[in-house]
Amino acid sequence: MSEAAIDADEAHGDDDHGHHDAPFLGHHFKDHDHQFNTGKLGIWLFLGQELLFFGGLFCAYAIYRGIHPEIFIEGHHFLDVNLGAINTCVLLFSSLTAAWSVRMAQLGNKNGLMLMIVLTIACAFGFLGIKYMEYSHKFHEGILWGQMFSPSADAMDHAMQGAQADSRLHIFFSIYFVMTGLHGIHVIGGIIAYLYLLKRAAAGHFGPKYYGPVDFIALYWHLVDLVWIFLFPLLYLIH
Amino acid sequence: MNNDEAHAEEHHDHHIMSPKVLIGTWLALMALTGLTVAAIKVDLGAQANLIVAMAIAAAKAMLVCLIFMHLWFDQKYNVMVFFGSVIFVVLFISITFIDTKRNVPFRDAWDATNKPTPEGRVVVEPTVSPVGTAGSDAAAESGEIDVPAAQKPRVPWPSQLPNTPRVAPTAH
Repeated sequence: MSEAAIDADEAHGDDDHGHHDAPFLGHHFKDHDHQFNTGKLGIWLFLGQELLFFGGLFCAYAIYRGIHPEIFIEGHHFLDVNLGAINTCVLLFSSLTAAWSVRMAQLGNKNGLMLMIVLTIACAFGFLGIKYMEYSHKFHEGILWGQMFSPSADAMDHAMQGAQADSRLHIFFSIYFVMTGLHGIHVIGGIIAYLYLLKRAAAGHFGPKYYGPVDFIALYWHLVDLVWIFLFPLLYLIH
Repeated sequence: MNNDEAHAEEHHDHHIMSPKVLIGTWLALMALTGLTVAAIKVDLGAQANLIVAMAIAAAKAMLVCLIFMHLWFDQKYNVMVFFGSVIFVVLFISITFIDTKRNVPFRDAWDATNKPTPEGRVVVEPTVSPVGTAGSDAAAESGEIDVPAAQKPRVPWPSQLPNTPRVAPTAH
């Protein structure tokens, strides 16, 4: 160990465990504000890359829709607008409860915080449940991606009303499954994050001074909502 | 508003959203969702319908960003990070589009040699014999694309090349 490192260690000895009254304040942070702002910048950077990550898929969507608008018109007839709209409302409500959970943490209302977290998790499961209904119907009817696309005659008749389908229709479902599937994985990630948050909230870790994790996970959850806000009209509402 | 809240709201970093603002934002988001579902039923032409749907989605996104994600009250560098990303996504898609337009002749050339039927379409009839891509008709006619009897009749699809093993869709 170098001399400088030893010096640093010794210097630490005095005040690194100095935040005795604040068990969750990292010793490398000056105060709660410092820690909060650092974490906040971190989560925003993460959300920025999430946006670029989904941006690639939206780009693929835009190109295919630009080249073959007809397969998107035909493809959306296979989706249930009502289920998509219900899922939008479920996610919007969960965004409200997520935003409210931050308020509860800021006010130091432990029970309120836990209630909001539970509601958010419940909505996330509700969203996945409806998505499961949609997916299982499509799997059953053979409405799958790429080479797996092998629609039942029933489903085809129902969606196309006897009209001819474009031979590239399977591309729509490749895009549909990748975009909604990746979004669904993010919802599962959100559930795991909120379960972690629930455990910590129950232990009474959060209050007006320390609520960073509640805020950061809520931000992530809002981003998941944001992506769906665009996916819903792009996949379900096509004219 | 209790004392705690009043105190915290003075503080730049710890802005607490009032219930009124939160619920108002949520109601606005729900109303916009209803509007976008209703708007798609009005025939404005494919282009205009898409623009309206995207404008409503953008309005919803702004509400979520500025209020639920409290970017409006946040440090300016966080705003910069996020909208910096938005700008790059827009650039990414726009620049790719320039290239896509240039690819159209290649696409048309590919289509001309790969059309499964003269119209480039598949007839939706379960009884129709499987239509393969160019050069695979013989394989298709010999019945290599066979549907398990237990399954519902399937519409033959040109994306299923006859010479690749067909993966049967999972039943559930």
